Amino acid sequence: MTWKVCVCILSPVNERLPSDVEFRLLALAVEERSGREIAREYKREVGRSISYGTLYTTFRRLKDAGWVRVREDEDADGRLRYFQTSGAGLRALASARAHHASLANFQLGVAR
Amino acid sequence: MMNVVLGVVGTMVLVLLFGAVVSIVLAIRRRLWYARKKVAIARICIEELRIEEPRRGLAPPPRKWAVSIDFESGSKPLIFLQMRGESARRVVDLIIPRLRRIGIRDYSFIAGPLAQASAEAHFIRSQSRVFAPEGVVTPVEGLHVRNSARVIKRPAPGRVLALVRWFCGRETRDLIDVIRADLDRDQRDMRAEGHGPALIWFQQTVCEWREILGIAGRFLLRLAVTLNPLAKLIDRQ
Repeated sequence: MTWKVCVCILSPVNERLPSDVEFRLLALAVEERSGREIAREYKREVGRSISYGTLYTTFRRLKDAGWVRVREDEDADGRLRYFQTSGAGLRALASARAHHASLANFQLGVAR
Repeated sequence: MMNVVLGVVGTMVLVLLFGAVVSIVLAIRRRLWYARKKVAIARICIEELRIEEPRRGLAPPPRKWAVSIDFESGSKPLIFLQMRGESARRVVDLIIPRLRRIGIRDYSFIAGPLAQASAEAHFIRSQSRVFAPEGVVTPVEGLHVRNSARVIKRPAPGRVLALVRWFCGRETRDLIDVIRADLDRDQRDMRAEGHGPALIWFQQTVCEWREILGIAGRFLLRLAVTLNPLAKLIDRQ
């Protein structure tokens, strides 16, 4: 068990893992969706709403990291932004899931 | 220390005074605008826009309606409504709150094929109306508008956000444009769900101020990061 703890602590972290909100947004944008649809899904999944400003700012950060593709569109009401997780985003999502799973296993191991 | 406190208080007073002056100027400008429009409405036209979209499940195809209001001065605000299989009567019921928002309180212009027997009506909701059959394209020629415009005292949601936009950089302006469009869509959906105007206004105002505070918070955070790079540690969500 001890060596697992050492590996966890001492392993070099080469790539940034998505934060909690980023992780959820990446997972929701696996299919291409508009920001408004994602906000609705976020509220349904998480149970609390996210403001459009936070959502779009977070997606801008994800876009800068290369994890999300953004498409602009326009309809009668005004501008629309569509988001879809890119290949790098899917890889980041997978590594974050693996990280969370390893943490869960680690906690289970400690409990035993 | 005293000088700093006096400086901060003085700045706050100046900002408040500036805000008060700006709001008074905007109110006067709006009032003048509506006063000009009072005698200048030339034509109101309601028409169905034909759009070809595939059916989704059992839902009828969406129908989009455009309401254009021509003023003699040349300005032309447009209202678009997208509805699924709604009758012309429902369209009129949705258009009226929009017109009220613009400042038109007398609906005597709604006449012709779409809504007859209302040329003399002041309160269209209490009138018996005869509508054209569903699906008929109905250009409506306005007869005339008496007492057409009154100033709405309650500002429509989105105005404060538009004011904030004026002070922002290009990137935040883009963000505010998208947010305002989304808030408009939320408002339209709430109206289609049958919520009352007061609730819609309250919800929109709350959302608007939430967005404004978020934008202000992010600005302060960027400022803190600029002044002290260690503040970047709290920038991650």
